[in-house]
Amino acid sequence: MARVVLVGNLAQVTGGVAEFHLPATSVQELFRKLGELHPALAPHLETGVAVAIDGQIFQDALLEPIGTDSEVFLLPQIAGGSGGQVLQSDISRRAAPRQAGENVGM
Amino acid sequence: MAKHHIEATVNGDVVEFLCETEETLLDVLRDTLNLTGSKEGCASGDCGACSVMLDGRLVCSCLVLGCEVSGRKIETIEGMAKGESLHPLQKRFLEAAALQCGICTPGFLVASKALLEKSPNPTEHEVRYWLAGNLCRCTGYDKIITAVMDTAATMRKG
Amino acid sequence: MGEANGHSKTNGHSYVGTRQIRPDGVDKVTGRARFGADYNLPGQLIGRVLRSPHPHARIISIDTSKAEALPGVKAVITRDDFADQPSEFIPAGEMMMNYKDVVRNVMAREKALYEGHAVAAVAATSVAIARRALKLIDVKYEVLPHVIDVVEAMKPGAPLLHDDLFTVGVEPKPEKPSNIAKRVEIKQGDVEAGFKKADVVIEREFKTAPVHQGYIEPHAALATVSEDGATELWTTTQGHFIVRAHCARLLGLDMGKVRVTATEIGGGFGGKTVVYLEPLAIALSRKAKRPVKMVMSREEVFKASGPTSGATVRVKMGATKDGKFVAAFAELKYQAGAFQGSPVQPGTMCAYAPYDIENVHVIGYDVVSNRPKVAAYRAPGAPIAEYAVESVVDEIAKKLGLDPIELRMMNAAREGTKAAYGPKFGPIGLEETLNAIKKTEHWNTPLRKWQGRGVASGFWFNIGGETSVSLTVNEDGTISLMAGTPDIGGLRAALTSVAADELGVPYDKVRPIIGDTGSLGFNFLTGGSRSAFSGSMAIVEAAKQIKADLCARACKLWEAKPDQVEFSGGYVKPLGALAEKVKPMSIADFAKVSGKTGGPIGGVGRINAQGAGPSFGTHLVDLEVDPETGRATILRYTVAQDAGRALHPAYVEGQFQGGAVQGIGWALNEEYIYGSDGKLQNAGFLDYRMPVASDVPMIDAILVEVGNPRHPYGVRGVGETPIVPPLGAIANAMENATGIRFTELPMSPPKVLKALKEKGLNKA
Repeated sequence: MARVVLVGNLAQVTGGVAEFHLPATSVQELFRKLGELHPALAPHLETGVAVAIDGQIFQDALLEPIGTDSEVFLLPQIAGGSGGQVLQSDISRRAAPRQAGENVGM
Repeated sequence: MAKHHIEATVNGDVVEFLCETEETLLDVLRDTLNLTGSKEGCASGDCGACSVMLDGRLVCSCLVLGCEVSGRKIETIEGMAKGESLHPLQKRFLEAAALQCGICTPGFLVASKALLEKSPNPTEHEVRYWLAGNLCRCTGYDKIITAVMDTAATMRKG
Repeated sequence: MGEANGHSKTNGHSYVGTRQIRPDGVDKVTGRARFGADYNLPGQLIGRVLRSPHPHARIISIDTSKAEALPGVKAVITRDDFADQPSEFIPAGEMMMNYKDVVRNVMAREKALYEGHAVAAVAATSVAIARRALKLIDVKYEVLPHVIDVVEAMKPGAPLLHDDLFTVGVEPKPEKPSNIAKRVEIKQGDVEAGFKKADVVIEREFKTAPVHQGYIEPHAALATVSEDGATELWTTTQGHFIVRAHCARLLGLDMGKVRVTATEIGGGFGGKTVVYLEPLAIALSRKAKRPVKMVMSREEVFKASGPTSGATVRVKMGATKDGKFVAAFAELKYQAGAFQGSPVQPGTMCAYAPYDIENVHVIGYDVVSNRPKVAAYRAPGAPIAEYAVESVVDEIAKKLGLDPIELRMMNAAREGTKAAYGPKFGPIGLEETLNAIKKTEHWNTPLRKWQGRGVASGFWFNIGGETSVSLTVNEDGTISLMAGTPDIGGLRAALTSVAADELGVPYDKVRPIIGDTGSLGFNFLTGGSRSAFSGSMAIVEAAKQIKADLCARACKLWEAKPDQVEFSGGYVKPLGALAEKVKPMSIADFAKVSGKTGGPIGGVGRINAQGAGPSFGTHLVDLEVDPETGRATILRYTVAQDAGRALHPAYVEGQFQGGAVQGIGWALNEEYIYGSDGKLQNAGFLDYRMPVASDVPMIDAILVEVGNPRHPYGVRGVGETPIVPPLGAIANAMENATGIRFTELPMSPPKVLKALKEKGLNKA
């Protein structure tokens, strides 16, 4: 079981619980399980955490493997990762731009 | 108000241009003569990025009006290299990594050339005070000063 | 010491680690290189921005009719030309931003929130007409009370900037809005128990003023929009892919239709990671149906682009008499400017990171006030926090009678130390930098009266991030390298060395360019000290593809099996018995037959670089104070910093020296000076006094290399750490020179003189 620690404000969302022991073999799986335990945590996991696995920091690394005895820290994201990805999905949702005046002419 | 018709020499070539009264020499160089090597960092004579030589004197071209240079001789960074050969200062700046972003580099080169023509054997103190009118935010000045002093030594030898 | 691993050396020659001439250098020393304002298009219009003269005002109405009617004016835009954006946080460099705020910062909507806030913009056929047009725009303001100082802004009853800003991170959730956007916290152990164990406890409050990144090149953008919506933009930026994303979002465009070229950039330091003019230039061009060029004046740069936070910081540290730190507390209050998003979070994480302390508690507040929205400035958040912490560390050393380097050594974070922000450090070089400083002649030189020596350490996390590069083999065997992170200080030289070494070709046969957004996959911006780290990693990947491809072609040509060939030193070489039948083939040889062997030869590296290693540094400064004027002169300065592996030593040294001098400016002279009317009084280089060549001595740079095991060459980012230690080091030197502990920055001559006079010390 991996030992998972929430750093900083993340523990506030779980009502103060900062430490977990969870079986998870990847970051993606870990996020899913944490999200199930604490639904209020899920949006934070999606948009802005860095993950340190056994001391190594990863940003935007959903597929990174987690070992059975790993120590995992979830930190506030130190830096932006795929700002592009977030925006891309958003653009396709907002296909018709709401412009006052000028026609975009696409 | 009609524009002024001005004739001057820039980097050895006779040029003629029209300019508004309020246009600076820097504006004319960059926007009319397409010599964009001189840069505008402040338009108030505080950063030296627009440094040029006017009748052999180092000036901030943002503090000179375009209509003031009638019949006068201007030298900019674009005239510093001779054909395919870089000026020793330009060469040394490259070897010594005396630039990072490079925006201040034309100003420093023009100013340093003026110094070495006036004072071929300057001390570090003299170099720093002469170049105090040129701002650099990237290098901390260290490698620039070293490059100028090294070039001075090289030029004195031959 | 860590070892670099996995990269192949060329036949005896290696460019990595040597001082090559940068490939873009000749253009830069001849004035040929084109920066943002050097681009022009035929038929272009000049764009200018109308800015709020009030620090805080409701915008009742904007009448642009007279401006639109002026001959020569081809387009006028206001808030009506930008669709509102819903609240959504996105990562942006080392801070988070919210699109609802971005659209309002680019063009004010309900309120003007700082003097200089953009309210309207025009595009006209000349500068003179554009200026006249701005004067014809009639804006009706309802002036509101303003607040600048962070502590003032936090008080209940302070003028409120946003009525929908409720502090995040406090329980119970506040019912009333305030100027406090966020409260953040990190905790480890039990500081109260720790303080009880301490033999000495020092508590101090510090104040810093906002400072600007001070890039010499103002913001500039040139946009042209076609009738079908295709948009081309040239801009001076640290991240053209990010610019594309922001503009596409704000203007409702498909990213694929927006092509952004990053011009050469005249300094950024974090300040050019956001958009100001770009969306305006595109909107104007779209309306006017002509290209629009916009350049900020220096005054606009100071008034309307993001400086860093001013802050109030309280630090309390406890140590036992042998020097062991047993408890560390800090409370950081950072100004975010008009919209939330100060770097207080990284500030809290960095504050005690250089030390191994069992009990740590740091609280941070992100506070809005009527100033331009802060943008990143080199290691955002860390210099302010380190100034406070390193000052207190020095006081502890004095109180306990311990050498300041020994005290830091005793508590230094090492490999395996658990950082207060969570994970354990891998191999790091803090101790090595402390030792390097201890060994210098500088450290051992005696001082005279009114001279003082100060030392301080600091660090930055550094990041990796998404990176795309391409390596193409041209028909003559030369290599075209395309990277996508703007080169702010020598990156192309470093990447060229790596590519040359990876492929085993001469340095001058590799030509690097920074590609536009249409030519490469996504690249996160140049920032976070990531471009050399990530770029070199991606080049290794691209080179691997080329090498594998050439080996495969060789196998087909020589009818050989994969284990009979290998790539080494620029050649595919036949092994064993095969070597008697065929001769090695160079990259150029393959290039000649590329068509016959499968097509053009090239490789791409598309990665999300992980494994960025932190860079620690220690700075040593000697200064002399003139008691009659309060002026401090820097006598000597030494930087020791861990680069992991310096791809190009001269440009790494350049980062150390440049960051140190920015720190000198921040510590001794730079500050935003506001009048009681909330207006900036020193919006120019004369009175916003940055260091000039006569203010500083040579900066000695000591390159420490504790390899980063997660990078093929052992590289650590180096760009940001150099600005973190100087503030503390200089404050400590001032204390040693004057006997006065300065808890407010900058320590400018009037302030120093005032403090000396109060103690009757203002005589030589």
